[in-house]
Amino acid sequence: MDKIMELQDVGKVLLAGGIDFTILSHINLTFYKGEYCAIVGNSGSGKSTLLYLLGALDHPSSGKIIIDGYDLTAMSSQELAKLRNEKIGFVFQFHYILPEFNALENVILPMMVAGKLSPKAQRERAETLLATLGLADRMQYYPSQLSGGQLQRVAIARALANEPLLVLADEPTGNLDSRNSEVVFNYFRKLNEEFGQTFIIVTHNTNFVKNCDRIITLEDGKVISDKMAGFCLQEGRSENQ
Amino acid sequence: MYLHVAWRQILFRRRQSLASIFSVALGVGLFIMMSSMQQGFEDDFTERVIAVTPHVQITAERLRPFPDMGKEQYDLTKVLHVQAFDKIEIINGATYLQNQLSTMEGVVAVGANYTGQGLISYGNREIAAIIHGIDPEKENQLNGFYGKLKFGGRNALYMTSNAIVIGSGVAKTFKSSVGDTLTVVTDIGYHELYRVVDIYQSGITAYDNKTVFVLLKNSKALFGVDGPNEINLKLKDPYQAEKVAAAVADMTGLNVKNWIAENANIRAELGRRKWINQFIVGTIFIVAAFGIANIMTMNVMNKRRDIAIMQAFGIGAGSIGKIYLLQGFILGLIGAFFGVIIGFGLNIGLENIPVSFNAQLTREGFPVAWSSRIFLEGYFMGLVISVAASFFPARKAAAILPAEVIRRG
Repeated sequence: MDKIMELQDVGKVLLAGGIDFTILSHINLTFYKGEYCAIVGNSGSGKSTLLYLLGALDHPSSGKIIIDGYDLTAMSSQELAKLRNEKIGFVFQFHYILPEFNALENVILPMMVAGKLSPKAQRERAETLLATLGLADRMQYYPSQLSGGQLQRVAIARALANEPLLVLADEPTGNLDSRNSEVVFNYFRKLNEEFGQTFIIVTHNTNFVKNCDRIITLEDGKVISDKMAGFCLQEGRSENQ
Repeated sequence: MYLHVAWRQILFRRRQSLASIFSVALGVGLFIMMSSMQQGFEDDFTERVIAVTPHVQITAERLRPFPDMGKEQYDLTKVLHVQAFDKIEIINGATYLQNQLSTMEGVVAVGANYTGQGLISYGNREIAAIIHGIDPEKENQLNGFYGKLKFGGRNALYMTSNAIVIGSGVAKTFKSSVGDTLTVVTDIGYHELYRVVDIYQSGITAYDNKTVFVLLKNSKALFGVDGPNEINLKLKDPYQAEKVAAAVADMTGLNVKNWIAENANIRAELGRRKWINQFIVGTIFIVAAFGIANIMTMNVMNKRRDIAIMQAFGIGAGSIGKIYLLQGFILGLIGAFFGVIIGFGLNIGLENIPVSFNAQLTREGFPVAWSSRIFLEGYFMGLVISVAASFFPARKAAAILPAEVIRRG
């Protein structure tokens, strides 16, 4: 399998109220193309922080992150923005749909930023994505006219707009009921299987975790287990380090 | 792309955008009004002063011998102990001089006058007056003499042998009008009867109260002189007066006055008022700028999540800043546009306010200068202020760390 991301001894320290909090320490992980991976752990274990680091939204305090051959720690913020635009799609617990734009336009925006497709092609792709996610009749709706589940699906469509190498999701179903959660997970799995996109999903949803190919468990900022479809890649290693 | 996002945000927050547009518009409108009024007063003053004061006036007062006469004629290196002439009453060789002056660059009209003082009496009233002996045609070329005559008789001064045009103030004091006969007594004791043929009104009360006009040839009888004691120049550009005056003084060796220097005090006062106005307008702009900055900052704070997600899907921090600067620019464009309209309306209003300034200048309503320069200045000021005001909010927006915002939800 192609290696698409590598974390080398990554640590993250946050400063709050004059005190350093070690959120993550000595994280060594490698992700491969087409992986469908869950990151689990108790709240405060550093899952989300790890995800932001993976998504080049945040800088590690130590160590190296390499995505598709690019060393994130050596890139300018403009280069990182470009990288996020082209290679990474984000889905967060909260949908973050821009209220000034309708569903279709929200999906088109990342494509506009990339500027690779013609406006017509951008529109067609956005329409296809929204239709796939069951929003064919809601494209012209503004966020205020859409339900939470619908908004989350718009957010997913937006995350997929530029055919990212990597889709990062942070509690994507945290605000959804079980029916909508299932819908979202089914889409993720379908996309993963059809297009071979890598998914890294932070979640508490046990049903969802069961379906993942790989499960990374964090505790107190350390990887305490890394299991892949029955295999154990890394267990108890963090204690040894 | 950035324009797209910026514009949508402006449309979405209609009320805040309108408030910003309104503050820019108000600033620009008031700037235009204040500047137009200020300029209007200055122009009005200048116009009236220029209308009665020659741009450049050569008087019969000799300041020094003909320049370099000694050097040129006698090949001397130094001229010492120059003896002053007695006071010269008239300008010798005025006709020749006028011809010379009329060929000077920037000079559009040349005319020679004799100006003296005298007493004018009518019935039991007397007025100390300034008597101008003029050539009406030349005087008209110099400062629109005919236009200021109440009855518009172009040849009025030629209608009778002793014809006089009196200032409106003089006419008012005497309660006299065309056809009345006045007695003119000059400071050298000559006296003659003159018939009023027209009334002159320049609009400058002080001037109209004591000025009368006769023909230049009459000054011979009134003052016993055989020529003019002033040569007046009208310039294409009145603001070249100082330069031309210096050149003419150099050429003639006579005392040469110019309207700019003669009215320096009032012009300085007008200049001071201009500064005061600039301060007031500056304050208005600063208040407007704070208003915009405030609204924009609030907007950025409320938009933290949106900014975070925009960064997440690939709009860099710099570009986020640009979006907000662009908003300032767009609001400025629109606000300044409405400001121009407001300024236009205020100017029209000012012109039509029924206020009369009778103290020094006679006129109804405020003088307003309609200058495209002022409108353009106002427009660009509004634009610049608006962009400047959005600078800090834009920087704030650019400094938002997406991970921080998303972590907090």
